[in-house]
Amino acid sequence: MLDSLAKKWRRSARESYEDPAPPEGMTPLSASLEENIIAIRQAAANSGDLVIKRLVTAGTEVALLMTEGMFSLTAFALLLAQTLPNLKDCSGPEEVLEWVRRYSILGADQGEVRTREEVFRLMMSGFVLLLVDGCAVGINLGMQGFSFRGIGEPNSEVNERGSREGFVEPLRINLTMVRRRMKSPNLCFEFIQVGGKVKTDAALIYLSDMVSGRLLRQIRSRLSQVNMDVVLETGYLSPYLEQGPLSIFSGVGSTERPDTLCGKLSEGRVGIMLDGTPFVLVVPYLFTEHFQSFDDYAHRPYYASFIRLLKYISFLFTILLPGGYVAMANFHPELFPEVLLYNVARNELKTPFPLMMEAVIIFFIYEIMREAGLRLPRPVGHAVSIVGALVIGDAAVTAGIIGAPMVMIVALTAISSFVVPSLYEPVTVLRFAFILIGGMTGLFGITVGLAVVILNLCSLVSLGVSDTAGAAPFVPYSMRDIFIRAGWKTLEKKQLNVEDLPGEKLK
Amino acid sequence: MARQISLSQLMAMLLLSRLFAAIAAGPWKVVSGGEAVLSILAAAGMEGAVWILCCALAKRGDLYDQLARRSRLLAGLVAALYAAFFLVWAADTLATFTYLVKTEFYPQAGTLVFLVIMGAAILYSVMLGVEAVSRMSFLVVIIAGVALGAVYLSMADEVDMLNFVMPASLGPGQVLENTPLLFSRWSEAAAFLFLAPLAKGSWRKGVFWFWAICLVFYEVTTVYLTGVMGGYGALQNYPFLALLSMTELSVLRRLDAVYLMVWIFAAFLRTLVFLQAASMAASHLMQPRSRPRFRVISALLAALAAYFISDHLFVMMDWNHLVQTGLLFLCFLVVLPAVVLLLGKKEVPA
Repeated sequence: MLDSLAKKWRRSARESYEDPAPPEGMTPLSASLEENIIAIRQAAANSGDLVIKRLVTAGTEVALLMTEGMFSLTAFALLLAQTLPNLKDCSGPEEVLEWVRRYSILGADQGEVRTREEVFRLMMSGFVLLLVDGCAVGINLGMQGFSFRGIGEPNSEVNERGSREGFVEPLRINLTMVRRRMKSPNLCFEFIQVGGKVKTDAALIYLSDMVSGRLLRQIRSRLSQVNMDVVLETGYLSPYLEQGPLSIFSGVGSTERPDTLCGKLSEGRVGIMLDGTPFVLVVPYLFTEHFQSFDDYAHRPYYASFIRLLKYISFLFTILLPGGYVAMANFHPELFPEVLLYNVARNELKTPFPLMMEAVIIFFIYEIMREAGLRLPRPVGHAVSIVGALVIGDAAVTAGIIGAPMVMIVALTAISSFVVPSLYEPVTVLRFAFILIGGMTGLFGITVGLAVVILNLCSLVSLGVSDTAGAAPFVPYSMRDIFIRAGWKTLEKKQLNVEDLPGEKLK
Repeated sequence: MARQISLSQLMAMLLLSRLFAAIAAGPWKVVSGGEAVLSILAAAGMEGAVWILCCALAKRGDLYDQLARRSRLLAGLVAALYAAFFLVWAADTLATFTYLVKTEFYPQAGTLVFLVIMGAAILYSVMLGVEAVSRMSFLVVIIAGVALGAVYLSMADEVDMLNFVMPASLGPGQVLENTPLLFSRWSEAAAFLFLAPLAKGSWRKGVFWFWAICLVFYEVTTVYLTGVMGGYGALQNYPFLALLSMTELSVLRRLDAVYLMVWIFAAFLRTLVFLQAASMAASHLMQPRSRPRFRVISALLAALAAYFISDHLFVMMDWNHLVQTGLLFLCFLVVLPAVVLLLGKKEVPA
């Protein structure tokens, strides 16, 4: 009997646990503190980290609601714990509320809340909520004190010169990094929420005197169409901001560096920052910007121009070199110098696979090792490089699976692909595609494929701005910062704004 | 009609079209040396007059609208004729290109594989619109210019003026007889008639530079072909490709295979130019929602016609003979524009 009763109790507890009443719509706060607390506890399904401290001050019952681990204990102790319980001059809940509103500073960021949804959202953002019995309004006190990763150099965008700061996960910290660099009253942060269920904070960042109103309206409209319940990374939002034909290239860029973002904002672009990720989206993003880095503007122009051209050449190498080699060796051997031709032929005689298969196999193995090296824990990560060197560099050639020239091609291609890391995804796909095309149709197929890729790139329009703007449609003054980097005395003569680029549809 | 592209982009498209026509179907195997220099001048003079006529016509507004104010039937007939004309040129481009690639680079391969690959790429590209094509054209023109400049620089030492004979040594008749061989494939002015409304910029300047660059290109190429190869060049199917096969750039030899990439780009874009012009010509004859379908169908038709022409040598020869008479040029670049100029009515401002 006891067992069956216990089962019934567990079942009812499980059912009540599985079916908490979710907050629906915007439910206004009640004037009764008890009702509010009960409703909030129910909605939170009695979550273990919900902390509710009730106390009486100046004869009025109040409650402090907070999430464990999200608020600063020091600020709480200094600002609240010592002042609120000792309040004496107020009689009644309205006077208590008035005192908190106008005659005290209990938190750096103080505001009012009127709905339960806002209470939840602010509590889970690290605010401490003050509810007063008898008032249907609460006060949120900014006392955030949750732990987050320290500000350090971003791993994905390493530069020789420039700031060593990179964005971190909390949105507000990131906003301060931008604000410190751009002390302009025109710098605007427009807060929105994305994600139907999780309501993640996001911010549109722009310079109000530079940005195109039409661009902003388009971005707002597109983001309002995001129907996902959960948005954990800015990459989730990218497809909503892209337009134009299906393409492996994207008209939406991202950055982890505040200095880079500030540079983009000063050209009339919009940054989209999301709480919980250090990667900030930048729209619109031109194709040529993949080849620009912050270092270009810190170095001397001649060196920066050399590096810029090197990046373009590396990009072409990494997508065309393997396919071109396979095409030339199979269909156009007359293009090789004689000595090289004899070497290639000699090595190919030793291997069992056709050249195209060799290239596909070796690049497939390379991608496996690259992905493994990315995911492996650091202590064993160096084992991947040892295995890679042994497998590709030595064993495969000694075993006669691939030829030595192919190892050189793989090495050069792999190194070239990391010169422009932001294009790694399309480069990987294009590389395989061109290997297959070159192996089957020679230089003819590679050229037709390249023509289709270039045409596709030229057809991309990112929120009213062509992805190839500056180069095509050609603009002479844009050339100062596309294939070369002109000196600052030239660059400062005329500001480049995306809305002024020819062919754009932002005006 | 919204002006979607700049005039420099339009002219880049037309320059690439002319480049392909020169390289793949150039007159140098028939006309060389001093005669060619004079024939080119005569042909350029004739083309200049045609450009003036076409510019005057384009300035008056849309061709169809000009004639429609007189007779809608006549306007429809002229539009349909031009659409067919451009489709034929698109097919000719594909056929000529396929024949070139097959005979010079891939002798073992069948015709169909080139047309299928090129046709698929063109089918995809026609849907992307004229803006994308024009942007790509500008980039390709720069690449082609650099590539040609490299060829001319590297072969500058090989030019031997002894290979030249005195111009007009065979008499002016020979020069005049050879002139139609040059302008018979110069259809860019007709394409300009229909693409100009899409372009913003000064037409006069753009047309002048196009004409001048083409003239200089033909003359310089003639000097090189005759000066470097002499009579040997006239024996080749594609004299310019023969010149490229002799060019060396550092460790690279047989640059004809490298420049194959430039020809492929040029053929690809020339086909797209004529397909776009055909679409513009036929746009008044159909509902707006049918235009994407027309583009696809016209690309397929051009590819099919190209296959038929390139796979049947005698058909190709007959077609080339017809083209070389200059009849098509006279009909569609002189007679029809003159008819429209005489019969068409300008729009009267309200």
